[in-house]
Amino acid sequence: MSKKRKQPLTSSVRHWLVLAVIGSLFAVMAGRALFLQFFNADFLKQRGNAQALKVIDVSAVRGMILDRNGQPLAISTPVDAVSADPSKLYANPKSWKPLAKILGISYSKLKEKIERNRKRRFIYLNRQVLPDTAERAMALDIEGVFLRREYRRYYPLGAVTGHLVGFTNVDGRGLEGIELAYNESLRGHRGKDQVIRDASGHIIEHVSNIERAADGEDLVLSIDSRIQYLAYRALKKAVVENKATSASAVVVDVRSGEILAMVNEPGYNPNNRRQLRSSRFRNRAVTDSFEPGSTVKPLTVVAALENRYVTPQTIIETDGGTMKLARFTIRDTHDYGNLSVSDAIMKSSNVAAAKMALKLKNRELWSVLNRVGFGQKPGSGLPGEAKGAFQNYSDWRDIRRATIGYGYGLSVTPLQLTQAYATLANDGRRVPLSILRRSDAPAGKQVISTTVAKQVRSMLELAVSDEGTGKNARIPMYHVAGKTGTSRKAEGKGYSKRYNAIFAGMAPATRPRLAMVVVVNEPSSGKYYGGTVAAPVFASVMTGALRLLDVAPDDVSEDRLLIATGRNETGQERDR
Amino acid sequence: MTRRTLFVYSLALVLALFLVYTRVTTHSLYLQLQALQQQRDDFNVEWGRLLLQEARYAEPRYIEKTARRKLGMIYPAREQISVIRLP
Repeated sequence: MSKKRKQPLTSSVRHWLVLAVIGSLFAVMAGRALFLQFFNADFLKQRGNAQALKVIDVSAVRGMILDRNGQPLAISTPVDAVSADPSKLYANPKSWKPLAKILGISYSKLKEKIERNRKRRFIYLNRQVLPDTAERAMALDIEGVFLRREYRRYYPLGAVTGHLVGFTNVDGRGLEGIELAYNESLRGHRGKDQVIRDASGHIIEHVSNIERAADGEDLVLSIDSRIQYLAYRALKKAVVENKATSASAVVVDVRSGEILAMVNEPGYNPNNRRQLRSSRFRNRAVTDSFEPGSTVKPLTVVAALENRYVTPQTIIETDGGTMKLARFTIRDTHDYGNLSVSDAIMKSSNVAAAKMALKLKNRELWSVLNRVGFGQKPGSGLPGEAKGAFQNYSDWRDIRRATIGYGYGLSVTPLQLTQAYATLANDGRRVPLSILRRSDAPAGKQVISTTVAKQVRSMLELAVSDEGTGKNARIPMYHVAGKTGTSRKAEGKGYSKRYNAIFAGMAPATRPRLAMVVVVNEPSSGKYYGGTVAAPVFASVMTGALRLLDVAPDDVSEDRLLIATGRNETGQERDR
Repeated sequence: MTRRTLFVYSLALVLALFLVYTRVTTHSLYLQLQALQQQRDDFNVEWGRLLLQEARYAEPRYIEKTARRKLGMIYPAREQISVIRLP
């Protein structure tokens, strides 16, 4: 009954009232929507996109560096950079302690870093972190901490390939060696993706690919890591035994021009960044030049032979081992009496070499040295190649020509000297050197006649005979040809008591496959001759290298030689 | 309502549903892509590790040590080597 007292509005009025209220609400909303849509749209769209739409970098993997047999010499493995948005991290100081502990950095340092950068939006907390450590850091679930993919470079052979391969900085840019020279093709390039991220930074949608990422290309070197290792070990031993300051060795395949090994002492391990001191980075085999001394004499003989001033049998008088020229005296270590040209190489007579040089015209001597690459960068593809000091012949006086004839007054790098000997070994055909593996040998250029190259090679075989200066270079089963050199180092105006011990040679001598140069700087424990310091290094590396490359022995005595007859399949008649 | 408007409306509805469908598919495919990329990265880590391990075993120093110490091998002396020459 009370219901009837308060007279309700008629149902139709109520109906219209409700409709009006709802209608006006809709109108307001529609109006607002229209306003935003038509007048404010661009601004809002931008704001919205800025919050959610992001362009992110897609990292590219740096290519591997491999040796000629596919052994990795440098390889990138993924690691993480633990990064943070310091403005968010600053608001959450409780999280700092556990974070510092997992990342292995000190709490005070972390605190200082966050406070200093609290206005910025990005800092690295710790770089090159192993994936499982990074995962544990992420498990703390701290707002503003995230990971960035990075790559760490490993060098499996460490110091063995240190100078050659070089290394990169923490951002993956090549700083030395091959890593520097081939940085462009190794590094690839980063891509860019447009993505939508939610508030906590997770990617929820991939919108578009702005720039495709391309991984770096793998690089196959001409190096044989087994020979590289042999050379490294032998050279290190020689440096320690002879208390030398530094040393280099280079091995080249004479037919293809490929560099099979290149090592220097002192070395460094590129994996250990603390050990990186710039004085050790130099790849001395290509950057440092020295006076080649007696190792030039065979080239003087080449010039004398090809211009028909001498034959290998021509007798040269050495005048009691001394020779006066202008104000200078050229000396031999002994009085060798009368020597044939072959004997002069075998005994390494300075007087005989000077006499031959004096018979030549400036141009004739210069031409031979120029043709084997002296005074020019070898063009192997390694960074920092030096071209040595080798002046043009126009202002040579007699004394200049005479001293160049036995290896003074000019300088070459170990790589240049290797190229010269590789040319002699390859029957006078000069093949351009390469640090990258070749699929087939380039034709090269005949710079010395085959006949002359062969004549000089047999003289170089004598030089490692029992009476020669290089007998320590001999190896079992193979004939070796080579030349020792012991040059005094120039210092100020004159020559000091410090020496370079050098050996340059090739094997097997009857049909050479490898050429090698060893240079040991300032041996100071008594021995300093090329024949006693450098030649043993040659022998020990060559023994292993020829075996590893399956080069057929050319020095086998009759009783150890079996001829396969083709009838021995049944197991009978095995011997001759 | 004419038949034409009806047709347009239903077409719009179908398209709207299709849009929703593609959105959902895109998202799930993207999740799959991310999972696969993660897997690829993991495989790359594993491959790099194996390459390094292989390199360690192929290291001449390791081979020489194993041959000499573990297997008791020696380098044959000159007198022990015969050379067979094919005719």
